[in-house]
Amino acid sequence: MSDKNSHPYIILPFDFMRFSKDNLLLVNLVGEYLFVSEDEFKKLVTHDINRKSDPLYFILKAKHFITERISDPAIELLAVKYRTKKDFLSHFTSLHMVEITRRCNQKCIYCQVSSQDPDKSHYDMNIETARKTVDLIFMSPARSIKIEFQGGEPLLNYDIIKYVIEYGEKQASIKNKGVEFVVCTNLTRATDDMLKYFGDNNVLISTSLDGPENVHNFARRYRDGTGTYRDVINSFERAKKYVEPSKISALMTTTRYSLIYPDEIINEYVKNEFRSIFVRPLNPFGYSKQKIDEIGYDSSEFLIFYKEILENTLKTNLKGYFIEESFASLLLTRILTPFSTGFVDLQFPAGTGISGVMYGYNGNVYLSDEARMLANMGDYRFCLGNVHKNSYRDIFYSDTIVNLIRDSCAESLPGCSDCAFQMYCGIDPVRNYATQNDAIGYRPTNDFCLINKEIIRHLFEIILKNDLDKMDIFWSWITGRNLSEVRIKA
Amino acid sequence: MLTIKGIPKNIREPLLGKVRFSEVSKEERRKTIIANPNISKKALEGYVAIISSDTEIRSEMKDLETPVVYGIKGLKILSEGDVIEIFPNGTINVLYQINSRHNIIFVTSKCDCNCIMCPQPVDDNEGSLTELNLRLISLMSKSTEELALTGGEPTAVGNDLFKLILACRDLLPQTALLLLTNGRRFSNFEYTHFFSSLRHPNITVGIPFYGDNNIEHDSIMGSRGAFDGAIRGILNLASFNNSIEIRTVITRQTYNKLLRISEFIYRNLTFVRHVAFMGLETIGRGQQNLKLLWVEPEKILRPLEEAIHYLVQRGMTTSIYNIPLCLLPRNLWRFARRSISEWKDSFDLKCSGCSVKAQCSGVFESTIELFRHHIKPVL
Amino acid sequence: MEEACDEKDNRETTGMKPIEKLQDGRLLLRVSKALYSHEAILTTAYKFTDNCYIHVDSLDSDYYGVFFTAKEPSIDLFSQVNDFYNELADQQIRYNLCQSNRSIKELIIKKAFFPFQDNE
Repeated sequence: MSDKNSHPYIILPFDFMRFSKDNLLLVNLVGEYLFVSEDEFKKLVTHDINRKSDPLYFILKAKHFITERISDPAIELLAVKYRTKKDFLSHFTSLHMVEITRRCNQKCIYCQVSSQDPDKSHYDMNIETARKTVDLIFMSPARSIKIEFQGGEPLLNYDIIKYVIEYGEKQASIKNKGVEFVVCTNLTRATDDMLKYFGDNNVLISTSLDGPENVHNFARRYRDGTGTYRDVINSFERAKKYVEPSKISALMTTTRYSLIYPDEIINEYVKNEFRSIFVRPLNPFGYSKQKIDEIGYDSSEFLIFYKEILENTLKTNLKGYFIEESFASLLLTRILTPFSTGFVDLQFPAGTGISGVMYGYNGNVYLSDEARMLANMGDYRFCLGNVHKNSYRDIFYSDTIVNLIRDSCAESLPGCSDCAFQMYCGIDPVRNYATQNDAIGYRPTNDFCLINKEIIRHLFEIILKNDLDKMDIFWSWITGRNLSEVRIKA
Repeated sequence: MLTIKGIPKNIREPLLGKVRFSEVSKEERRKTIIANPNISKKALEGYVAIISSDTEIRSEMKDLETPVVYGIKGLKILSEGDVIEIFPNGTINVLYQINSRHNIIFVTSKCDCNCIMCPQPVDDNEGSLTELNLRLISLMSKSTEELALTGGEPTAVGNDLFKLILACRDLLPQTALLLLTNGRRFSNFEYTHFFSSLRHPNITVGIPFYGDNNIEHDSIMGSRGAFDGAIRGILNLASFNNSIEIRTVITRQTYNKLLRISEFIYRNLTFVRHVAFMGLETIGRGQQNLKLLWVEPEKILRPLEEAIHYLVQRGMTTSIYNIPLCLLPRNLWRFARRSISEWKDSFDLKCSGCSVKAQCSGVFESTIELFRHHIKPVL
Repeated sequence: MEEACDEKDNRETTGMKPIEKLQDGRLLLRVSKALYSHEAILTTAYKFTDNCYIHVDSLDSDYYGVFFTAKEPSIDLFSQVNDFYNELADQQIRYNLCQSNRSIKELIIKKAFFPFQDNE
């Protein structure tokens, strides 16, 4: 396969995107990028770059866009790097989300999980289902298991949480695996005993804080309509007595109301001493038109908001307070480092089922949270089985999952296979099905694509400008260190 | 290597021994060279040799069979525990200094490359140094913190290198080893497998890089295939979890490529534990090719800072060797190491008033002329 | 790109334009079979089907015909067709690159997941 006779160099696999006027972004098979001019690009693809007179030749060679012979170590290096990037696949299913109860004491404006009245306790996971669920979880080949308690509001069924933690740790010890627990809770029902238990047992707490009081209370209310902000803040104070600050994190869900408060939301996070924020867009699946009008927005509005809040987060870091925007941090790790990042919601092949899976309160096993919502509306196509009826093989080797893997590799997806961002991005087939009636999705109007693509592009714009402060902040996020450790200023 | 000289008596062949300033037991004397002894003639029997700073040979030593070197002017540089080799002409090579942090085992001068700045010429008359080195290792103190295996190209002596490593492992278990090699031999998987199975508890392989592509690197290494060989060697070493360090000498050819080399290392050889940027030593070919290699110290600062910042951002460990503090901006001082062997006289007269002399690497004696009008004491 | 357009124009017989407005309101783009593969045309078409109905056919031995109909009256069909032609050039480059480095890509991925399969 030597091209020596016909061409002076072999072009290695890469994708490209027209980034701005006279600026093309090239991305190779392992996510390494390079900006080139129109002219340089033309010469590259017509095999016209001259080794003797073009310094670009050596840059392309070093960055593995071209090589001279098929026997060059570039091939081995690319293989090692590719394996590194996809390493998350070797863990198979490592994130296990468990719906401890469907009951909830809140009725948040954007909630799609029809959270049953807090008194109807047959929407709780019972002990038998919990045991079978944990048994199934520990059949995963992953060396390290993460169990996330979800709901409804999981603390309403606290006894089962404790049961899963205790039984889970026993199983982890028998199977010689690591295990980590996360409680996704609104914290309004957290007693001191619960918090102490979580603190003593190294359980991570993930909670929701949409912003300052007015923003938070717009969306997150008790069933009687009153705001939850004060109680949530009070819970933070109490939690800090028992749980290490690094073990409590928060995320926010963006509603129409949030869009005008990018500053205030960050300040709220700083005030409550959070070190990370996850800025999430709304997923309007299943909403009535009325609701969409009330709380929804289109992707371009979200993107404006996201860019502003990212800028504010950077400013905050520059002032000396470390806080990372989690989504940007993930994408930056993919763009700027050679490392593997498994993130169930955004990866190729899709994370649904193979990297993360959801267990319902009644033992049903779903590809994802959204699959659970679909089932709730009567569509069971993404339900893989039930812990009481089906074996590990039935569930994890099912046609649903096999087909899913086949249909969610970037190379086989229209709109993704030719996208320069495919090493940074991912697909959610369940969301595609829910919003566009097709698991493969139709990229030109796919909001998931439009938002992710624009965020990645925006990050590349910042990278291209190469502002030293911003790049240092990015690296402080990626490596989890203070800004001062990343800088070498005098 | 440090060398002193005196007047020889009774020396028929090269002699190796550990320096002691006071008497030792009869068993120990077979390995000991006693220095400036103040003891009776009977007590002087059994030593490998006697060395003395006396200008005249002492009466009790006159009739001794024991080899003697006297009239040594520089004897006071020796410490108790140093290891020296004495030659029939009265030359004394100091092979090991107990108080130095920079002891080496010179494995061979043979090499399969031809680096344009190489300080070490090939010696065709050398023969095998392995026996000598094994004895040297047996005489070194167990408290030695670090030892470097150098050359030439240490892997050029085949299994002898493994013998040396095993001797270090068994006799100097607390001593960290640094194997300086161009890495090409490790492109052979079986060789790397064998090397890794020696299980030395603390050995780092130090490999030079002079470019992010084979054309630039090979031209400095003076050998085609050096880059590809080094890459494959490093990948093999990494697959057995060996500790690897990359070193780049800063020359006119490399100084504006330091960032690109760092990028290449970060993306392709991420497991590398340490990256060192080194000032040029101008002896041997380094001296011959000076015009080709020399770059004004001011020019290197910006690219050096960029490369170091790049690595620091990514959490990689990095150091600067052989560049004095007065030439570096303050924010880079924390990366500069005291890297020049103590025996290489490395400070100028100007340096006597310098407030940071104790932390400074100084400069190579060979480059002091070139640096003279650049260096200045920090007050 | 413009380059491809120029080349195309040079090969045309007099009177034939690359973009033709048809009587039924559709726009027809003539694409040279010598320069563009049908895979590239289809991949390009995918990106425009949110705004246009697109129909691809073989006109004769030398040309494909791509027929555009606007989905909404507000859509500037002419500009869609021009954007299509630009995108087509890029897709053709991608297709060509893919053809020439498919086996290298497979080799790399195979080495990635079966590193010891070929003897050193």
